[in-house]
Amino acid sequence: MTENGFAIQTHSLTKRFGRLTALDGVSANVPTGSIYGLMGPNGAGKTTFVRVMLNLLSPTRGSATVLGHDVVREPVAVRRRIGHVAALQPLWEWMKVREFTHFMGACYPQWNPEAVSSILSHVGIDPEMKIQALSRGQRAIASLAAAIGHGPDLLLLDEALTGLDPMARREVLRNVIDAMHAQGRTVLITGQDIADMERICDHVGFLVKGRLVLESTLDDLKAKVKRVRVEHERDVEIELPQGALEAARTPGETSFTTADFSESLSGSLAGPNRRVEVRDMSLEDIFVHLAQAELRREAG
Amino acid sequence: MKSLFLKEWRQGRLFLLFGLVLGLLVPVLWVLLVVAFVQTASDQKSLDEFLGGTYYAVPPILALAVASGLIAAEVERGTLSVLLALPFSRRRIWAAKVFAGLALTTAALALFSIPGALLIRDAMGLVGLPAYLSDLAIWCVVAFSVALLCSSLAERTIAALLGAGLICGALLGGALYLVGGLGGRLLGYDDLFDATLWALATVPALLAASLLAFARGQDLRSRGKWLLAVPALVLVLAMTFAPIVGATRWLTRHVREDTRNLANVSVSADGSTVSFTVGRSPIQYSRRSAGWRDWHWQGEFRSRHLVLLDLRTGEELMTKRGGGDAAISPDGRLAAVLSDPQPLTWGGRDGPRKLEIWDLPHHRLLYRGYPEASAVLDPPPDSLYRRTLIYNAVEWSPDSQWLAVYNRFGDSHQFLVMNAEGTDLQPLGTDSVHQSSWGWSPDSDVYYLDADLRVVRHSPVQNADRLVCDPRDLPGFLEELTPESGKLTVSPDGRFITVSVLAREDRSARGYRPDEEGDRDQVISFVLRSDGSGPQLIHQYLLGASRSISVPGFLWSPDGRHLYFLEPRSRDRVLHWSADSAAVTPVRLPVALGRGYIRPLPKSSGLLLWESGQFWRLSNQGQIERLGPDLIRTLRSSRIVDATDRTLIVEWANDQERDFLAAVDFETGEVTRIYP
Repeated sequence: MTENGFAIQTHSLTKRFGRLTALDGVSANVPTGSIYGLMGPNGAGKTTFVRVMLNLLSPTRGSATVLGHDVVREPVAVRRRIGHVAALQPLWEWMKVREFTHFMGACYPQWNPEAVSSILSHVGIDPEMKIQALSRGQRAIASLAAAIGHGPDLLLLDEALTGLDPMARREVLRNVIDAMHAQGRTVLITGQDIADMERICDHVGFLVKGRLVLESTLDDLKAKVKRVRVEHERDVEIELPQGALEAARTPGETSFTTADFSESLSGSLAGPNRRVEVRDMSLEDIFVHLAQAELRREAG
Repeated sequence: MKSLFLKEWRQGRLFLLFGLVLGLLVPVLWVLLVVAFVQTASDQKSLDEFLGGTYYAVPPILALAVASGLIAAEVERGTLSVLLALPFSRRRIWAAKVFAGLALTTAALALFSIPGALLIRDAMGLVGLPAYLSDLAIWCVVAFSVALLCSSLAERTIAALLGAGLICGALLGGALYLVGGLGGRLLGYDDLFDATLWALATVPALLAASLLAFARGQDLRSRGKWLLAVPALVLVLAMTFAPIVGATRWLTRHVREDTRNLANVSVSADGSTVSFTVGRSPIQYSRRSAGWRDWHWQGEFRSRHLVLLDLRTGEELMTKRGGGDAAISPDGRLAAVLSDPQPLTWGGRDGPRKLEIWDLPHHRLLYRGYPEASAVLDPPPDSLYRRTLIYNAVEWSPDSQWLAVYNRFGDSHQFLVMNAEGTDLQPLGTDSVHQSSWGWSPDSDVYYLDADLRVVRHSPVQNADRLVCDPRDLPGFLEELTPESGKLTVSPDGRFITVSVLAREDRSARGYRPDEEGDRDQVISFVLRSDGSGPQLIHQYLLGASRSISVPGFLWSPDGRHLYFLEPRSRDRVLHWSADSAAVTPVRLPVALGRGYIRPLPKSSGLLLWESGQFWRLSNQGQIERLGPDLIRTLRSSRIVDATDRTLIVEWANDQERDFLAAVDFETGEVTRIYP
């Protein structure tokens, strides 16, 4: 797919809107064939990141390469190979579903109408329906079908699953994203439904206030970010390891979250009259802890 | 690209229906309005303007509506990001939108025109639209471009539409009004067509700004987008108002200037000055003389100039926009200018003409006012024409102190004398006065036929009339004189006058028979001394059954000793009356006079005849002599307009349809261009 094995690579990518910095020196690497979850609180810059990849916005500074093409210099080549669905994507209301897919098909030489039809029929969308008559979820499905009709090497789903009921969401995740993953294609998902992300993503990135505070495989992340609880003597104060994100102390107990857990850390905390308990964290907990820590750090 | 174009086309197809509905509504509205106007006898001009205005205003509005939604509607609905995420460059997307928009506008306009063409076929020539289609197309393109720029900047269609409407209205419409109205009055500039072309010149800037705003629009907050548009808007402003500050005149000097419709050429009595009207345009652009615009837009859109030229130096003594007729005083110092009539109705009724009197050496306006009506004169009394009428509305007295103006307004006629300041107005004739029934004497009194067809001598200085003679006292069938053929000329030395009148037979005397009506009515011409004595019948012309009234045109030699006139119905014979012999002798012309020309030669040496590029001198003794070479090739499409001693001034359109004024030495055949 790409020479260096990354579907998306950015270097110090910065995007400013006047005084507002939406992306602040983001250096992200989305491996080819991965399902990459880009997470972050509201206003973190996730949509801006996606729009820069599509060259809907041009970066203020830094560079971005998608599938080996520079997004600024070769936007058409980039867009030819990616599919994109945004949250509550507005469509041309006057069109019928058939007209919409036909129009999209006419824009891509490698269009696969059967794949699109199968997705639409699977969720029961009549091609003769007007788009204005579709429900929010049906529109999302129609958009998704149109986005993958040309067999993109990279699918950008910008909170695209918003509006889908749990069943439909699961169907999409299973039928579409898993299929792309199986074909070695790359999917980048942004959103706040972390349970879904945890279930399907193999790579994650955390954006907070325009900064990419963490990027990792999901397994590494889960291996590194741990909740550690140490029971100790009441008059002893445990020294927190470097990189502890959040800590709570009570007489005889210290607990903290670390983003850099290792067996040696566990060993260093162990000792006489101490009991060290290391707990795995859910992706949602990790997200919350990372975001809060970053916000605290920024506040000062 | 094709898919984008088709998508835009289908997205805007409602405009086609919109155009069709408007096209159906306008003719219905026309019918209702015409009925209402006819019933209330309202101002006809307002109706004309409204009817024409509907067809003139709707197409640019349609163009505005189509273009306003091309981009802003996508932003408003949020579909623009879907479009921009497609594998096309923004330039292509923009181009597809522009082409689709233009196609939609064209198709909507076609549908708009069809009902009019079917329902009110040929009504006022409007539905054919050939004459003003070019101007309309220009305005549609300008409106489309302005709206496209607004659409690139605004985030709502209605905002784009209002913005474009305001810009078009305020900049273009306002500027045109300023140029045509206020500007015309203040600066003598009333050439709206130039302004239209200048507005067209802003289109590339508007399109470029729109493309720039579209290409970067998603990336910029509104302030940034507007900054992109500012240069384009400044350019629109500058280009639109450019004609006012004389840019068109600058262009006129640096770009090939077209001259067309060179007409109304008149040479002053001393042969020093020539005046003519000419249509000038800095950019070549053909316009048709027929079509509805002539009655409606001619006054505003044509680029008519009245030019007064010093024949000796070639210097332009005066150039006045708007055209008109000029008469230069015999001393060459004053020019009386009658503006072109402003049409009141499409039927061709003329409005009033404005009279201006200019001091030529000082280029100072002495008088400006409105004589009560328009003026139309027969050929001036020193020329014979077999062609159409020329317009020569004013004539100076020999001492350059008084001005005679013949006024006609509808069916009313009036003959006026006024001084060079435009005051001391002395109405002489009444409704019955014929347009050529007067003439100046060398001492600047005026002879005229009054309402009773009596010859009266009027002294402007004393504002007093003196009866010279009553044609009824002359021999012949003069029981019923009618004013329709009354004609009077005065010899240059003031010793003789000619009088022509239509005399009806007293039918009751011989018993009236309908089939004989008119058989014995005749035009009778006399020559008599200026005191009314010594009348001599010099010509009788029986009208016959045709009832076609034809009055001879008289030519006096400069010394007043010889009188020439063409016989009606004859194209190859001139009658010659000599004061010495008091006899009329026929002179046969070497060729039949077609589109040719006869005029007296200076120094009373005879007549000059021009026909088909050849010249002859007819001496007073009846000898005929060829002059100069055969100029039939040189003067193939020319018209002789006046002649001095050896030189003829001609006008013609050459192969590039550009009119010239030139002098021809008819002895050597040398052609010297005078203007432009």
